[in-house]
Formats: sequence, C-alpha cells, structure tokens
Amino acid sequence: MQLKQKKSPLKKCVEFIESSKLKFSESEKAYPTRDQIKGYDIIEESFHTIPSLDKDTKKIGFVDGGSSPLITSSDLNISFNRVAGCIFKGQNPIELSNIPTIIEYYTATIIDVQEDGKLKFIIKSFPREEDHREYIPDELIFFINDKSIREQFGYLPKIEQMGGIVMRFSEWIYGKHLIESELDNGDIFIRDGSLQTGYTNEIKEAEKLFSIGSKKNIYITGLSKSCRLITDKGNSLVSVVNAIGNNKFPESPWYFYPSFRITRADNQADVYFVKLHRHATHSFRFDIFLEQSQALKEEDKEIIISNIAYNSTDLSFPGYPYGLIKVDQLARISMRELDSQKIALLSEFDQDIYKSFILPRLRSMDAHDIINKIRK
Amino acid sequence: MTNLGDKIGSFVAGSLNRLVVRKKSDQLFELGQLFVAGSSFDDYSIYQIKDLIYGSQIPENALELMAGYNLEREATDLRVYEPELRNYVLGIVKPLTNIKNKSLFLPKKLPTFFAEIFDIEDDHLDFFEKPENPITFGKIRSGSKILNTEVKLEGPKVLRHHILIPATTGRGKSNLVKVILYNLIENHKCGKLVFDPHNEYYGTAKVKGLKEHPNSSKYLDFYTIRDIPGKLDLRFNVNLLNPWHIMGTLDITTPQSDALILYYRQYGDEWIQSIFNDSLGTPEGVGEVTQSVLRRKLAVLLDFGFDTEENIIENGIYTLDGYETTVENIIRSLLEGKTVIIDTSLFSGKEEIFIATIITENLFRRYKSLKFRDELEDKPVITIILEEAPRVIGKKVLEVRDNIFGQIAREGRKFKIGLIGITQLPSLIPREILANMNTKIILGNEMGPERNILIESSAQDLSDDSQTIASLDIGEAIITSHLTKFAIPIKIPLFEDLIQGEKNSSKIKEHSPGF
Repeated sequence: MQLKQKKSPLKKCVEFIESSKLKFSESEKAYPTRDQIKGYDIIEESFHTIPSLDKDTKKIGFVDGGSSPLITSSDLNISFNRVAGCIFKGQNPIELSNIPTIIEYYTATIIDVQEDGKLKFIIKSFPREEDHREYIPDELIFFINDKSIREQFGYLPKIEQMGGIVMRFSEWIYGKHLIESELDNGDIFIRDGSLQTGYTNEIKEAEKLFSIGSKKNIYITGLSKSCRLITDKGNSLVSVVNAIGNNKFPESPWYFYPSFRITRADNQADVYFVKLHRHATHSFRFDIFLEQSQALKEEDKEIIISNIAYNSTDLSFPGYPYGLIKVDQLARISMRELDSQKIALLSEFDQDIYKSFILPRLRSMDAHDIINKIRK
Repeated sequence: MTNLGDKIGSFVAGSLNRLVVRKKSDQLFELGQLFVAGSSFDDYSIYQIKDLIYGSQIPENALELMAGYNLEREATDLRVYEPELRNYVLGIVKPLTNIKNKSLFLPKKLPTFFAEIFDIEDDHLDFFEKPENPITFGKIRSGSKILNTEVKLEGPKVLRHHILIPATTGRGKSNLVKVILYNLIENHKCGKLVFDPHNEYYGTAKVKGLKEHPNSSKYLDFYTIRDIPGKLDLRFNVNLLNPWHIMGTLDITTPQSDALILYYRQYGDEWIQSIFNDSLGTPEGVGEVTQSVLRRKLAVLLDFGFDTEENIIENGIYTLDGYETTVENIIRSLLEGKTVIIDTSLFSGKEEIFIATIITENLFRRYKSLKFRDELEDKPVITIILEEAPRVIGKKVLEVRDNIFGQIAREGRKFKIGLIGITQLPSLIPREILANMNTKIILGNEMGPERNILIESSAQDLSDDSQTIASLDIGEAIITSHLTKFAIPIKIPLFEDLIQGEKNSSKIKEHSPGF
C-alpha cells in the first residue's frame, strides 16, 4: 500500500502562486491606480529598439539622497542627511564646477502645539557647511494630521521619517541648482525614482526644478529601481513588459511607450519602460516630465533614452545608469559612519540635560534595540 | 605638509602595526616596497609593504559577475566605469622606523588619516652613517627597485657577533659570501678564515673568485692540495694534533677516548707516532685491541698506508716530518687581517671537519691566551666561514659532543672570534646558537618551517615577513641584526659585476644604517 504524502504548507503556497501566475494574458493593459492616470494597451507595436548612440552625446546630471536617524524618541528626532550629484558626458565623468558634489546636513524634529491645540512637526535643517544652506529647506512644518505624511491606515506619521522627507525636498532644490549651474541646452537630468511628489509643498520645489529645466531645455527624467504598477489582469506591469520586450528584441535594448500618462497636479509624467542594455536582467520604469515629453519628436525621445543607455554599460550592473550607481554610493550613509555621527552628537549634549530630559525620551523607543542586543 | 617626493598613495585604515594604504592608480605597489610619510624631511617614517590585497567599491559577487561577462560573453560594450576610483590595490604596511632630525626612533605614532605616502628615495636614507671599518652587503632594495644607498655595517662588530646566512639552493649564498669577503679583503681589522668545501671562493679558470682582487697576492692566502700557482701547501705535521681533535671528528668509544688521552699524556707531541710504534708497547690501562682499533681508525682519518715493513706511508696531508708551522702561518695571516681560504673540496666531510677543527681550535686557544694576557684589544676580529654549518653546530652533533665551533658560537664574541654560518636548514641549529647569531642575512626560502625558525630568532619583528622571505628573488635578502634599527631589505650585487667594477661608484652613497 502506498502512503499518501502530505503536502507541506509551503508547497501549497507555491502551487497557489503557480496556478495563476505562470502565464501572462494575450492582451493586457497598464492599470491606472489613481485618477488622472491613463493606462495604455501593452502591444508589440509600442516596443522599439534603442538606437545606439553614435553622435550627439549629452551631458547627464544625476541626483540622489540618503537619510538616517541618529536619535529618535516619540517626540524628537535628529537625522543625518546627504544629497549628492554627478555629471557624465556619455561614459566620462565631469567634475561639478559650480556646486558642491555632496551636501550634508542634520535635521532636528520636534512636535509643537499651536495655540488652537493642533500638533505639528517642526523640522529645522542645519548644514555641516554654512555655504550649503541654499541647497536645503531651512524649516518645514507639517501638521500631525497632514494626509501627505500619514502612515498607511491613517496612523500618525513616524517622527524619524521627517529627516527623509526633508531629504526629498533637498533633492529637488539641489537638482534645481545642478540644472541651473551645470547643465546646458539639450542635456538630461535624472533623479533616482519617479517624478512623483507627495508631501505638502513638495510640488513647489519640484516645480522650480521643472521650470528651470523647461526654460533651459534640459530634459527632466526619473528612473525607478522598483515598480509596483500592475496590469488590468493583475500581473506585474514590468514583468509583462519585460516578457514581451525580450521576446520581440531578444538581442538588443528596447523601450516601451506609451504605457502611462500621468496628469495629476503632484505628478506630471509620461511613463516609459526601458531595458537599457541587451545583457540587462532588469527593465525599469522611466519617467519624462510630461510637458517636455509631449513636445518631443520620436527621434528626440530616442536620443534621450540612447544617451542614458550609453551610460548603462558598467559591468557591475549592466542596463542601469552608472551615474545613478555613483550618486547612490556618494549619498549612502553607512552604518559605520552613523556610529561615529551618533557619538559626535551625544558629546554635544549637556550631560545633565541629556540625563534629565533626553535619555528618558529615548527610552520610549529603545527597548527593541535592547532586545536585539541580548538576543543570540 | 612638505612634499617628501612622488605621491604613491595614502593611509586609509589600520592599526600601528598593520596599517592599510591605498595605491594611487598610476603607481605600483610591491611586496617589500619601502615608502615614507611624514610632515617634513626633519620628521618622517619609513614603512614597508607586507602584503597586498584587492580593494573595490563593488561587492564581491558583482565583481565575479563582471569577470563572467568578460569571460563568457562575446564582444561586449560593457566596461568598468571609473576603474581608478572603484577598483584598487591596498597595501598592508608596517612602520620600520621614525626619523627625527636624522636620528632613528621606534615608531610610536599613527600617521594622520589620509596622510599621503611617498616613494622612497636615497635622500630619505641620509640618516645612515658611514662606519669606520665597513662591511658592505649590497644596496638598499625597495621591492624590486634598487636604490643607490649601500648597506654597510661596522665590520668587526658584526663579525664578532656571528652572521647566519640561511637560504635554499640557488638563492645566492655563495655569491653573497664572495661579495662580503671581496669587500672585506683589505680590511685589516678583520681576519677571514674560509673553509671552502666546494672550491668556489678562491676562483678557478672558469669561475671568478677572490683571487681577482687587485691586491689578492697581498691579502689572500690559499691553502690547497691542488697544484695551482701561488697556492700554499695544505699539509700538517701530526704533532699539531691532540686527542680532542680526533674525538671531535671520529665516532669512538669511551675506552678509545681514554686511550688517546693516555697516549697524549705519555708521549706528548709524538703521541700519534707512538700509537703506530709496536716497540713502545701500550700505556698502562690500554689494551692491545684498543690500540689496534685506534691504529685502524687513525690510519683512515690521516690517510696513512703501510709498507711491507709496517712503516707509515703518508698518502694525505698529514706528515710525520715538516709542516709544523702550517697552522701557525694561518693564524699569523689572520692576525694580519688577511683572508685565508682552506680548500677542503677534495676531502670527505669528516676529513674536512677534522682539518677545520685543528685550525680553529689552535686559533681559539691563541685568542684566549691573548685575552688572558690583555693583548687582544688591538688584534683583528676573526670570522670563520662555515658552509653547511649544522654539520658542526647542529643540534645532533652538539648533543653527542660539544666542539670548538659550538664553543665559539656561544662565547666566541668574548674572544673576538665569530662565525659566518651558511645553511639551508637553520632549524637544525640549536635555538640558543641561532639567537647568538645576531646578524642574519636572510635569502629566499620556500620552506615554511625554516622561515618560521628564522622569524622567531630574528633581531627584529619579522612576523609579517614569511611571504616576503618566500618570494625573495636571487640576490635579494633581508638583513636583520641587533646592530640595525630595522630589518633592511637589500640587493646583493653579482660578484662578477662587482669585480668588473660595473658599479658606478660615483653615484653610490656610502652609508651605514643603525649605529
């Protein structure tokens, strides 16, 4: 008699996924997740090869930021932030001549109460070098009930995220300076991520960047490492696009357009999907500022994408722009430097004040760390 | 900061004894390379690269993948962007010495963060002094780059405290000894006694040797049984022998040793002859069997034959008549600071040791006596060059019976006699003697255990140098000595080049480290 083998729970999980996700549908369409987003059919005709760049090499400016909390309680936070930029012409780096490559600053956040009883986050920024003040917002205020900073399910925002929010603002501000001072007519600006803004007043800083970009005819773009967009059949949009693109152009880089057109006030973008190198394992969402994209001719769009593809031949990550790898590395805050920053910060406190007022507050948040330390 | 020369990298991490430097992309780092860092020519330190590793800003698995693209894909346009920034060489380095206003100090401070490092130049070695009676080993070497600064140490001091030259075959031991002897030949403050089992130091028609020195006729004595113009006869009268010479050479029993002593006491200088003389009988307490065995063993050792009437026929270098002054002549030459080469290449190992023992013991006795009479001070230091040194100062040999060489190794410096021991296997030499050999000129050695022995017995900390020693090329060496402030990497010149005067002496700075 043969024993009937019992299926493991994991096996059941896998079977469930396999039953619905092995094949893509014949015809799928980008699924608009919000209003004022138009999704397009994913059809073979929308896939095009990226022409190789044999002339017209543009300068490409890249910007990225990093942020990490140094101390946090439920009512105060100090974070360390960094924004970095670089420029490449084709595959060659160009030194920034008018603005610094790296901006570093601290943000201090407290919760204050207004006369009418409303609570608000007050975030002040302190550059490590006074000359860098122009690249960061001096002070930001968010009411605690501001929807743009709320957590999922409407929970109160975490105070330690305020540093990261300021960093978003400073990325736009720094990017504006980069476009203004370092790039010329026809050049390209790429930020890490989409062109989406979300936090209250963030769009104001983004619009300054869009405005100077349009004025100088510098193309404003964003490349997203990850993409949560889906199709109307519930599949991962980037996966569907990847499968069709690779099937049509197995030996060359390609782009897919149109996919989405976003015409929201906080996000105006034409969304492309690009595979920037034939050996690339990933394709990415690529946004071009809507106003510029609509005005571009087909060949101009291809010049932009070809320029970015030309910068995406680094062996460490084929198909991903090296400029973004570089700014990521420049802006990243390592755990090692975080430790030394924490020590420097703690040494600045008056010891009596620290013991009486700060330490008790920090204990509201640090029990988890203690558990982590005693866990083997 | 004052520029100390060509910038080749900068410090990035580490601790005092294990600093990490990053190489400038257009420079070259080598194992054993020297470099300097500091604030000015009045305050800087010399460092040495002990190991080299790859550094990269790219994670290891990404690097492996990158290599895969190059290896497995056909023509690809993929490349490494900014390779000079992202992939680099890191050197693990150790400070050797700190120089402040030309005085040497042990390094006690970390260099400043990101401090720049500079390629070493001869100007950085200006602190070396010129000794009065120099012994020249070669030129300072930084990795494989040879500087013009010569390494000279105070000859009498170094020789008195013994030198060990360990290396495997083909790494240039003989060349080094020739270079040392050649450079010392006119130095009358040092007498040089060379036991040459391969006949390689004097020189032959095919192989250049010390006879090529322009003043060799004045400063060089060559004792051999070969028929060579200018040679001196290597022959000894048996009266020069004593029982302890025999005991140090032959494997003999206690009754046989006692018998030798009894003969010696009874017959004095004629004691050897008396063993072979039937008419004299045997001393009291010595049996005829013992006498017979001693006759046989001595006949073999002294290469005696017998005619039909049982008269001794001298086949070798030992004679019953004449040559009473051979040893005295050798000692006199040494006292004049000459080089005396004893060609033992035509003898067996035992015979060679026997000859060396006779000469050395007489020499040692003379120097002891001079010291006793307070007349040693103005006499030259004598150095004795011993090839395959463990044959006489090896653990096994000395465990069985102490000998004159072991004695000199332990206490020779008190009497101004030192050894230059040459060996492939320093591990065979007792630790106590290894420690007494204060200067070691370490040539290349692939054998890990042998390297470890050397590292453990060195005057300086060479704990990070095992790989460096293994990778020393022919003629490259490290001098470690209590007479130097740090272990000095050197390049030994080729003897043939030295005698042809190919060195450009006008460019050479004559300096000595350490004193």
